[in-house]
Amino acid sequence: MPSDPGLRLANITVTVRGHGETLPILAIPALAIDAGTSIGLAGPSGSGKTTLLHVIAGLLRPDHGTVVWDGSEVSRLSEAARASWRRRVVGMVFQDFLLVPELSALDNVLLPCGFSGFSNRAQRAPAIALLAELGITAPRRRAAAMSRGEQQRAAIARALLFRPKLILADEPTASLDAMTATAMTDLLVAQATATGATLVVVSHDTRLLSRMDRVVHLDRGRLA
Amino acid sequence: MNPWPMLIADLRAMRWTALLVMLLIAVAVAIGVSIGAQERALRQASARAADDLPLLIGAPGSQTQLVMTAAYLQIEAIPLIDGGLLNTLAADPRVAGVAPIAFGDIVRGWPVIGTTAPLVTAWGRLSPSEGRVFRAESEAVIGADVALPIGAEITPSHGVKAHGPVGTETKDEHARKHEGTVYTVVGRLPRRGTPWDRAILVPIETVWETHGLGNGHQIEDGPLGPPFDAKAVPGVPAIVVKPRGVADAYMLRSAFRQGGTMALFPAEVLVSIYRSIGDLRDVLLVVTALNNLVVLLAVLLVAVTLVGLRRRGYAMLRALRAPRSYVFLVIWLGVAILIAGGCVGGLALGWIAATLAAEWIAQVTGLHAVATPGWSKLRLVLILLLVGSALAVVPAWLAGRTPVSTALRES
Repeated sequence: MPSDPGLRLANITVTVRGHGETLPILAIPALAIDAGTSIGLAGPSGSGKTTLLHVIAGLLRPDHGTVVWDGSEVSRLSEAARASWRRRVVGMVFQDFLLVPELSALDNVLLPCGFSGFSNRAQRAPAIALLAELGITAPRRRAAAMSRGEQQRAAIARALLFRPKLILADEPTASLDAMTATAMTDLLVAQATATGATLVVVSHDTRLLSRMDRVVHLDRGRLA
Repeated sequence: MNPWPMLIADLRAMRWTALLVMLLIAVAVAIGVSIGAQERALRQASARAADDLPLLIGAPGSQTQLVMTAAYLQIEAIPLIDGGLLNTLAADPRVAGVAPIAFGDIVRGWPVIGTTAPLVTAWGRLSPSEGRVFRAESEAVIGADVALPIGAEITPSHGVKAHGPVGTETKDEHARKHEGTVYTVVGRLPRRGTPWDRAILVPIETVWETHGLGNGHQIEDGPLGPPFDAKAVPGVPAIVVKPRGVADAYMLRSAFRQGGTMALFPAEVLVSIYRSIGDLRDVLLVVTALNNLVVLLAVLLVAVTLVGLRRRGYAMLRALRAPRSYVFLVIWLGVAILIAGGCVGGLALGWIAATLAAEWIAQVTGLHAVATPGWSKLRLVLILLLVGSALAVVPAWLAGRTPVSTALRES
């Protein structure tokens, strides 16, 4: 079992069943991501980028192989234990942001306090400060009333609030205009650098990928 | 765990659906509650109306019609019995009190009831809240709901039901007015919550005289009430008897069930009516329970659909480190709150409906039924809430079954 800090994937296989047969959608023999570095996952649509991200996040258990974080095998944990691991380690930015439109930016950022063991009251000031740092000066505006760029920033703030050691972002600049996308990229990289977090980004955006320490390409579920 | 922010967001997002769901449950609950409350209130009010009529004697015929006429003043023409019975009964040692009831005249929709003083005072139990009991043939005592002042002079019409203030009589009323008969209101009785609150009580002698039957005595303007002149006393539609004891009551009932009379306890007729109402209520309760179950299933279906629509949001929560139990709690609590809100709204709506129905019934019949939510109704609502809360587990459980990774990819 490797004990070096960071993320280690070995012999990962994910399959889907359909029409009476089993089809492999992801096959990664080995992938190492050192702690505090950033990596971009690139590839055409359907190449398995998001599947790989979900495997890393513990949202999807691979059929075979191991996912190890800081020496602990995450893929062997139960669902509840993986949720607990995510609570301690992971911050996620989703494609389409997945904010709750009926809540304010601040309440969206504080939402995980309800189940992460953090005090909502204690996290309020840091959340407002983080949102301000990300350029959101009206944190009590409803997410539905915010621009795409503001929503994206709120989503990033939600992922970063508890200073996660592993930041996972799925197409964080998709559907943003070039200027906003650049600003978001700067923000994400700067935040990861500032907190020493490991950053894994799925993207088609070459400008974003160029800011990563390393980019790996996937094609039909395999490292190209 | 604090499910409220997400729960409030869910309810905000689906506010119109949530309101409709609660309304649906509220209407279903209200139907059951109002039926039960109204039935119970009517039962109590109708029993109270018959309290002062322990034993009724009339001509053979429909027992129900006799009770409806004498106790509830739903006046219909019924055959007369020999007025001489009044003397016979007054002399009977088993009888503590006896009073005739005669009717047929009306003043502006208020029935004019001819009787004697003991029945006016409910055998001495009541005294007028204003004025006094009649002492002369031209005097009248009114029920609490009769909108006439003490001192008012009224002339009855024969069998014309028309409503409105005195002085606005219809042509028909004028045509059938008993010209020459004038009553002066000398007293008002306290409210009893029975149809008798809408009655105008007058000496029976005047009713007989108004209809050309003499006054039941040998002399004009003598003392009112029994004894009557055996030869001069006309027939009466009904006689109310207050027996001295329970055994006397049964003996009198038995004695006057033959020889051209019919004796009955109004309570026994009420029991029969209640049995029918009870059967109907049972059927309605079963229908209501099934109705509630169907509504719950509809709500469940709506909940499952809504949870399906918000599945990606719940997957986001799971991806953001929420345990499965958190998402379960958010959904279960949301559905349970809708059901509880519907139940509480239904209780309020049912109570309002029962109160409105009671007011309408009071206007139509004079029966003042006070509708209150009974424990049995509350228990049924509680059962509905418990069953609903148990069923709310289904959408909550279904939400947890979809793999997070799959749900997150849905658009």
